[in-house]
Formats: sequence, C-alpha cells, structure tokens
Amino acid sequence: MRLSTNQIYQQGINVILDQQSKLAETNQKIGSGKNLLRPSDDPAAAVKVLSLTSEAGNIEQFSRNIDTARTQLSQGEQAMSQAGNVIQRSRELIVQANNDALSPSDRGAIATELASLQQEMLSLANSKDESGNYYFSGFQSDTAPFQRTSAGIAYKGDQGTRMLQVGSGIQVETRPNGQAVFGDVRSGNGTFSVSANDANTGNTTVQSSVSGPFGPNGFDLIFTQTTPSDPITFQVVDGLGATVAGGNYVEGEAITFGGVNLTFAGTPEPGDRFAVSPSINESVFDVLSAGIDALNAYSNSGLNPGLLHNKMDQVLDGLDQSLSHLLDERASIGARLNSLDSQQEVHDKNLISYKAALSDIQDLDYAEAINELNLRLTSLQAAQQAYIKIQDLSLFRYLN
Amino acid sequence: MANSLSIALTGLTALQRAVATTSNNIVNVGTEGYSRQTMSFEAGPTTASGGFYLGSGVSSTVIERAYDSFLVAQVRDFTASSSKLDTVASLSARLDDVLGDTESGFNQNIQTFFGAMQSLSSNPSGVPERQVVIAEAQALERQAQYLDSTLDQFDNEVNSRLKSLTDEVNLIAGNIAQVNGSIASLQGTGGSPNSLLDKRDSLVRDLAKRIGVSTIESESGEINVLVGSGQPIVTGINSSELSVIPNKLDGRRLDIAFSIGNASDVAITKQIKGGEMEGLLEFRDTILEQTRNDLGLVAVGLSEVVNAQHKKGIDLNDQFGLNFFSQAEVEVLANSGNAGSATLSATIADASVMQPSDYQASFDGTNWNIKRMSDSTMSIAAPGTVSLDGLSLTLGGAPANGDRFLVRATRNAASALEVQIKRPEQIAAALALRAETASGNTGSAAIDQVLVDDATSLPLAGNITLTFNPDALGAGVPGFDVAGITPAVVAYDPALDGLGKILTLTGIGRIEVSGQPSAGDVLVVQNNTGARGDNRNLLAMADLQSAKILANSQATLQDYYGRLVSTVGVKTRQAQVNASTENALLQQASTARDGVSGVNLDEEAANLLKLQQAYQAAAKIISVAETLFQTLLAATRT
Repeated sequence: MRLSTNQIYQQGINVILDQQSKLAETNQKIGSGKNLLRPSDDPAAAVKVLSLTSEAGNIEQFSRNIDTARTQLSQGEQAMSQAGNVIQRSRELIVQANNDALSPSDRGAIATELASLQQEMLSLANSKDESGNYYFSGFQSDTAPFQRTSAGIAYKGDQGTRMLQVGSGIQVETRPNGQAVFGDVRSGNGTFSVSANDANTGNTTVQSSVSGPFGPNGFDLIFTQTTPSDPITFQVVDGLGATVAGGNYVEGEAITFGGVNLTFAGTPEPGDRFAVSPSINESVFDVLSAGIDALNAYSNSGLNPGLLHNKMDQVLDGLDQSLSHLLDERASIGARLNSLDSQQEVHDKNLISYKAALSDIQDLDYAEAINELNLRLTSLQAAQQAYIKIQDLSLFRYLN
Repeated sequence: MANSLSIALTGLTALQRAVATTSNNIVNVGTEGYSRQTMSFEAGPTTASGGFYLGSGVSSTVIERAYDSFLVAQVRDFTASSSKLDTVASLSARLDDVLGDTESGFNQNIQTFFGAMQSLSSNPSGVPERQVVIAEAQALERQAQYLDSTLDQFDNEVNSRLKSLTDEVNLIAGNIAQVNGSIASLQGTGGSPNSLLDKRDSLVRDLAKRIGVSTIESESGEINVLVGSGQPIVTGINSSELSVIPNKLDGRRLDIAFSIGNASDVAITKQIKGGEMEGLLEFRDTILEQTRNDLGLVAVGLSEVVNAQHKKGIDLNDQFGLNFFSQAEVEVLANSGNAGSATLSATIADASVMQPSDYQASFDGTNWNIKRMSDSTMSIAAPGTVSLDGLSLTLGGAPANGDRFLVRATRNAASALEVQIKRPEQIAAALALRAETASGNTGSAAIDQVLVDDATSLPLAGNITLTFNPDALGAGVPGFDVAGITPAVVAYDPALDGLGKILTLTGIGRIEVSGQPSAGDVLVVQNNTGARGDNRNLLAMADLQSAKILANSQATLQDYYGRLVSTVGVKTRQAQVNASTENALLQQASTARDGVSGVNLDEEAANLLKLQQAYQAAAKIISVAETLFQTLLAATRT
C-alpha cells in the first residue's frame, strides 16, 4: 500500500509517544509503590480497597476499645478483689466477736475496727477511673455512688451499665454499676433469712437451710410454754395467720415447714420469736452496719448474748453472701476478659488477612514492575532508533 | 525540424509545469489537509502531413488532487466521535483522580468520624474526646464541601467550554461559508481550485472536532453543513449561529441553541452528536450529575441517620440532642415559563429508599407526571401530597397545563452539609431514658435494654412503672400493670419470656425485659438525667457506620461511597477504552486517506528524476533539431 511520508514519521512518533506514556505509568507505579494508581485502573479492586481499608480501620478501633475495656474491667476487678479482702477480714472479726469469752469493751474495739473496714469498703466502692469519674456509679459518673445518709450508706448512682463495642455487633459490659456489685446481695441464705426478735431473752441460735420451694410470704415462729413445768412448744404461722407447723421443742431437731428447714440450739424462753422472711437485696454496707450496730449495742447496753449470737450469725450469713456475690461478679469480669482476649485474637487474625488482601490488591510487585520498566525502556530505545533509521531513508539523499 | 522544435517546446512547457506540481507536493509534505496533486499529460493533436499523421507534442491538462470523498468523510466522522470520547475520557479521568485517593478520601473521613464516636464512648464525659468528635465531623464537612466544590468546578468548566466551543463553531462555520463563496466564484473557469477545496475539507474537519456534522455538496460545488438533527449551520455562502442559553428548569446549566434568521432559539442540546461538544454534554449529564447526586445521597444519609439518633439522646447539660448535621434539603426549581400558580415543595421522608436522581414533574391538565430522570420511570400523581422514593412532595397551587418543576433530591446535600454541634457538651452521648429495678424487688426481672424510637414526646412527665402481676390479664395470665403510659397492661409470662421479651412503650420506644419477677416487683423507666457516664447513644450512633441505611437498606454510607467511586472508575475506564478504539479507527481512516492523498517524498523524488530526465531529453531535441538544421545549412553551402 501507498504510504505518505507524513504517515511514516507520524507512526514513528506515535510509537515513541505510546512507549513514553507506558514508561511514565510504570515509573509512577514504582515511585508510589502502588499497583492501583486510580480507581479506573481496576474499579472492582478500588472498591475492595475502600472496603478493606475501612474494615481494617474498624478492627483497629475495636482493638483500641478492647484495650480500654480491659483496663476498665481490670480496675473494677481490682476494687472487687480488695473488697473481698475487706469482707474476709470483717468475717474474721465477726467470728472473733461471736466468742463468749470476749468482754463488751473487746467487742467495742472490734466494732471500731469493723467501722474502719466499712469506711475502707466505702472508698473502694467510690473509687474513680483515670479520667476522674466515679467507677461504680452507673451513668451518674459525677456522683459518688455510695454516700452516708441518715438511713445508712445509700446508693446514689443509677443502674446504668457501661458498654463498649469490641466487634461488629458485639458489645461488652465494661463497668458494672455499684448497685449490682455492692448493693444486690441477697440477705440470709439467698432464699430467706431468719432473724431473732430483738426482745428475745433465750440463748437459742438457729441454723437454716432450704428444703423446698419458698413462698412469697414469710413465717413467724413463736416458742411458748403454758406453765414452767410443761415442755417448750413452738408454733409456726404464715403471713396470713394460719398455723403451718407446731410441736414440742427438741434441741437439735429439725423443724421443717413451707420450704424452710430450721435447727435450733440452746434453750428458748417462752415468747421468743424468730421471723422467716423472703430474702431481700441488701448492700455490703448494710451487712457491715448490722454487725457494727449489734456489737455497739452489746458493748453499750449489754445485749442478750443469745441475741448477739443470732445477730452475729446473721451478719456472717450476710458476709458469706456478699463474698460469694463479689466472687460471682469477679468471675463474670474474668469471663468477659477471656472473651475480650479471644475477640482480640479474631481481630488480629482478620487484620492480618485484610492487610494481606489489601497488599495483594494495591501494592506493587517490585520485581515485576522493574522487569516491566526495563522492557519499556528497551522498547522506547528501539522505537527511537527505528525512527532515526527510517528518517534517514530518502531518495533525496541520492539526488545531486 | 521546425516540427521537432515546436514539439520540444511543448514538452519543456508541460514538463516545467509538472516539475512545479511535484515541487508543490514536496514543499507541502507537512501541510495538514493537503492533497497531493498530479498533472496529467495529453498528447498534442496529430496533423495530417502527406498521408502521415504526425504528433504535435504534449500538453498539460488539469492538475488534479488525489482525493477520495468517501475516505475524507470517514476521517471527518471518526474525528467527531473520537474527539467526543477523548473529551469524556479526559474529563472523567480527572474526576477519577479526585475521587480515587483511598488514603485521604471521603471514606476515610467517615471512618475517622465514627472512630471518634467509638473513642468517646470509652469516656463519654471527656471533653477532649468530645472535641475530637466535633473536629472529625468538621473534617467530614470540609471534605464533602471540597468534593462538591470540585464537582462544581467541573460543571463550570463544562459551561465555559460550551460557550467557547459555540464561538469557535460559529467562526469556523463562517469561514466555510466564505470558502464556499470563493469556490463557487471560480466554478466554470476550468481547472479545479485544489487548495480551496483542501482548505474547506480542513475546516469541516475542524468543525467535526467540535461538533458532529454532515455535509451535502450542491451542484455549484458549495457544501451545506448540518449539525444536530439536521440544523443547517452552513447553507452555501450563508452561516447560522449556535449559542448557549440557560436551561429553562435549571438556569445554572447551559443548553445549546440554534438560531436561524430572526426565528427564536431552539435548544438542540439533546440532538448534538459527536465532537467535543457532545463529549462535554455527555460527561455532564451522565457522569458528573450522577456523581454529584450520589455524593449528595451519602450526605443526606449521614445527616438523616446521625441526626435522628442524636436527637434520641441527651447532652452533658441534660438537654435533648440537637441536629448533629444541618438538615438536608431538597431543591425544587420551577420552570421559568410556568403559566399557572403551581407550587411544589419537597421534604425528605425516608433516606433509606431515596434515589440519587433528579425528578421532573409536569402537569398534564389533570395530573402531575413525575419522571425520575435517572431511569425515566414515570409516576402519575394527583395534586396534593404524594410520597415518592423517600420524598414527600406537596403539589399545590393552581397549575396550568404544561407547568413543570425540577426536583433535585440530593444534588445540594454535600455542599450544604454543616456541623451544627459546636460545643463539646452538646454531644448527646446519653440515651434519653434509663431503666431501674425497684430496690424492694424480690424477683430477678430487669430491663436489659431501652430503645428510644421517638424522642418528640420526651422528657417523660413522670416515671413509667411496670408492676408485675400474676393475674394482670385475667386470672392466671401474668403481665405487668403499667403506669405512666398506655397500654395499661402488657403480657409477660416469666415461664415463656424469661430469656427476654421486647415490650412496646407506645409513642416512645421499646424495652427488653427478662428474668423472673415476683408479684409486685416494679421496673421503672425514667428520664436519664445527670447521666454523664452514659454512652449508649454514642454506641448507637457509632453503630450507624455499619448500618445499611441507603439504597433500599442495601448499603452502608461507606459502601455507597465505594459504589460512587467504582461507578466513576468504570465509566472512566469505559470512556478510555472507547476513546482508544475510536482513536485507532480514526488512525486507520487517516492512514487510508493519507494513502491516497498524502505526499510521499520518495515518490516525488522519483517523479522529479523522471521529469528531469524528460526535460533533459526534450532539451536535447532542440539541440538535435539545431544540429539537423546546421547539417542542412552545411549541405547547401557546398
């Protein structure tokens, strides 16, 4: 076919320009280290890069949240563990105070120590986080959660529970509220509690256990004796006034009614009463206050030793409940810390695979790119040489 | 001898002309649009001389240009289409570059904004963390505005290029008419005005680069040039003009109008085919508009969902959350030629089903025909309020037949995105309500979760209490007696629902109750005052990052932005591939045309040699004739 001179030159130039632009592109890729320079290079990959980048960003954020959650949970766990020690120590003191050999003033001293333990417990419950906010006050982070009022130490926070997001769709509780930790301790044995009437004069103490389903209404147990020579009898009435059990009192023999199993020791006086009431929630502070009040009452006015024992037993029950409650709370924190660890592991693995995928898509394979660069350079040189050679060809060179 | 002399002379004359033609070819080797010319020789007439017929030499006839009108037309058409595609490709490649940065783009801003919410949720009352949230929101605002203003610059560029293009088109059309005149005046003088014809071809090609044309040649040698759907921009020696006029619905966008004589302008924007002009229009109408609408939809989605959630919360001063971002608004433009007093107002009802499209509403005398521009779907609505694609349109006033409105659902949302929360304490981190269990409860029931759906009737006038009653709904049918809100009783069977049951608080929201309540146990829902440590609303807002809130609840904000980027990427790639295909076709056509019309220097050199030799030979004839003459003279002398 016929070619015009212009075409010959133009084609040569076009080839050179084409090679140059390819060279520039390769050069740009090497300079930036990226295989994808703009979305149009590979639109599908570009979208993938966007979503992988945001996924990786989310995971990094979740990992930071996990670190925060871990710090916050550990702080709570620390406070609860110390609170456990305080309860242990209080328990020892109560056991000591329950000893008949102690004088009222000894008990007074124990009451004083117990009061300082209660103060220590109070400052644990009112501990603050690294930002100066109260840890255990629920959402009311500016309000000290436990405050002394005329009615004892009261919870002033709310029942809010702080959560953090640690995975997509996964929230973890990072701060229990003070009510749940220190306040919601079931009284007695957890189902019901037995308390001696303050006017009791006998020295009976009582052990209780649950023997079956316990109704919502309490029971009242009264010891009676018609004449001093008669055997002491007991009578149990339920909340509606109906008698549900009764008989002669035999020390050490179990009395069972309405899901309650009671075993008395000692000798009751006629008129002594014991109330069996459904467990309620009381706070650790209430339990300690009950112990302090009983010991103080005894050292001041000479409380009936039998009554004191009963009170001490009740306080011991309360402390045991408190301790196991705190252990439960700590166990659930431990479980959450474990789940955070496994969540973190999942995140770490995903992050690695996301980053690898990202790198696969957008990062340059240098070996390949350098290879391509060399190829482009060679092609460009070849094109230039070809151009010079072709340009040299002209009949006019031979005309003279 | 005399015969030989005269023959030689005709040869010298003709060959000189031929050399001149060749020389002209040689020097025009680089002239754009030049068609190589060839001169044809013709043997002179024979004369009868004593029974012989003798030739009388040679004469040069016409100088013709090597020309194939089909190939020239092909080059012109491919010039128009490749110029169009080049324009689309280069503009969309620039747009692609603007949107493409994966490390600092809009997506990253969305990411860091929600990330800041997450960070704040670990210390909800922290002022520094709150300031970070506001700063990130402002960065998001700036990025949205930056992107939108960049898109706006593209719009302006298209407009100003359309303006200058129409000027250029008018100028070239004028030149063609002029050349037409010159050619017509030379018609009939014999020969062919080659350079004028070449010039006219070049002018038509220049015109085709700007706007697709077709030509019709008349008997007199003039050509008529048509644009669009047959508008004659050049008729013989007369030319008409193109102009730009503001669109009747949206004055900011320009239409191309054709005017002839004193007739009024006719918009021919949609009819324009080929050339840079169609490229600009196509880029504007398909890529740029779509991108702006898509970007706007992301902004609408962001402000709608974040605002809605933020208003369900309360801030550090126990005030309800305000709009976090400015409320997105729908732009409504009335046709400047509306005859009636029709009004149209539009508000956003549900961002999740909104379409990134403009709508055109026109009144047909009874009903409004509403056309979704992105896919030309029509819907018909009687005057009044109508819901369409997540918009609530109110069609009021007294419309006249033919009245029109343009509704731009999302166009301006990105540029209008503005952070309304200025002070750290205004961030509503806490949820408006919280739940409590009464202290005297003996059962284990609790409210695990409070969800606020509608904060308009909040704060509560008094606490909402739920008191468990084993016979709430009749003997043996347990539930809660509810105070403070309707309904007065809700069913809750601890045996069945103990693992969690969602109860509705009419007009306010929902709560999830679980556990085993005892009779008389009380659960309380109350205003969440003083809750500086509450982060529930923050968690809910941070969760919006992964919520599928756009495109019929199919895409998250970031998904949708990704779609936008990929759409532009795909269209850019398409335009580039099409442009390179079309360029290859153009090159082929040019090669074919140059093969016929282009100058080849070697060929010319060969011609030159041939002509030189012929000239030398013709000159030799003269010397031979002279020798013959001398021979004769010498013979007679002796």
